[in-house]
Amino acid sequence: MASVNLLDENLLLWNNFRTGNTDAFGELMHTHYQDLFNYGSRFTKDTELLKDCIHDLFLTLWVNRLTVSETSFVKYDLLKSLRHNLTWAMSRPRRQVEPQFEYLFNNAPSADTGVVREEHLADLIRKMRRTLAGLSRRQQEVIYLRFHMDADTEDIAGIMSLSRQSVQNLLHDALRRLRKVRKVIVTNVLRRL
Amino acid sequence: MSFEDYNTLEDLAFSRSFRNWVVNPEGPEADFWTSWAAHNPDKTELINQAKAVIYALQLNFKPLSEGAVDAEVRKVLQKVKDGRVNAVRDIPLRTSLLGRRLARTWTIAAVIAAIAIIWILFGVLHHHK
Repeated sequence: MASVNLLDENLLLWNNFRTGNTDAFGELMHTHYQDLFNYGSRFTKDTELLKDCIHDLFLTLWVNRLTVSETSFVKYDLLKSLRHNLTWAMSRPRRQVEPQFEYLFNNAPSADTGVVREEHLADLIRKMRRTLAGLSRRQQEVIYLRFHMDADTEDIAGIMSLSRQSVQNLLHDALRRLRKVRKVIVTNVLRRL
Repeated sequence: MSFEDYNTLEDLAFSRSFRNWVVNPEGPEADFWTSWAAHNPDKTELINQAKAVIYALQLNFKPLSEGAVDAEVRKVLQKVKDGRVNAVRDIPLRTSLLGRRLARTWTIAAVIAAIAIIWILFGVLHHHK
């Protein structure tokens, strides 16, 4: 129920922004800044470039505020646009290159996260992390968007410009691999017995 | 939230509520999940697995400070208030895809128009002979 309220609040903010209310625009930027910064950091370590891209993204949004849709899922539109702008900013002129998503490379999770609290899971966590690192970049990105940005299949398809079916396939395959991690451990235990 | 709704790794790992509990075991969701875990002893392995996925997916990422975000937001608002919003188009790196597409469309249109004019002119000249 809290999420419904949040949705209403976001919609109200969005509509105030569209009428040219700069306070609403400021609040809108505040609401989404960290998510954009986090997502963008998967593509580049150049934080100044990233800030520039987000800056321009918001200015473009302001300029186009009258033509943007009434009930927009703002967050995912912004993520998609940022991905897009980063692609241009990071590629050489006239050569559009898919930005390289690096889940673990940029700000790799520290090995201690969680391990301290749940020592008996340490081995499982390490194996999960290795499996995650072995996923394709697209799979990592799908998982990231699903997990950290609460995006569903359709949102992810929109952000990454993929078909829903492709997103589903990437997600299913990634989860299948993560699910197997337990089975490997169980077999190892049985072997030891 | 119903007890029966969590059967797979993704049900748990992608559930906001479950993740809140894993990250913050003393939080408001603790009652539900400890009770759920107690009622589902057959799911202990699944719970451990989901916990491991959640920990593995945590990012060791420092978000920007509130002050830094504020500074960035103010920069944008200042440009808006000064009416300098069009300056964004002067930076070639940041041309939007739509802008580039439009530019390309106009180039093609111009070339076609030029060919058409030359063709018509030749036609007219030929006719006069």
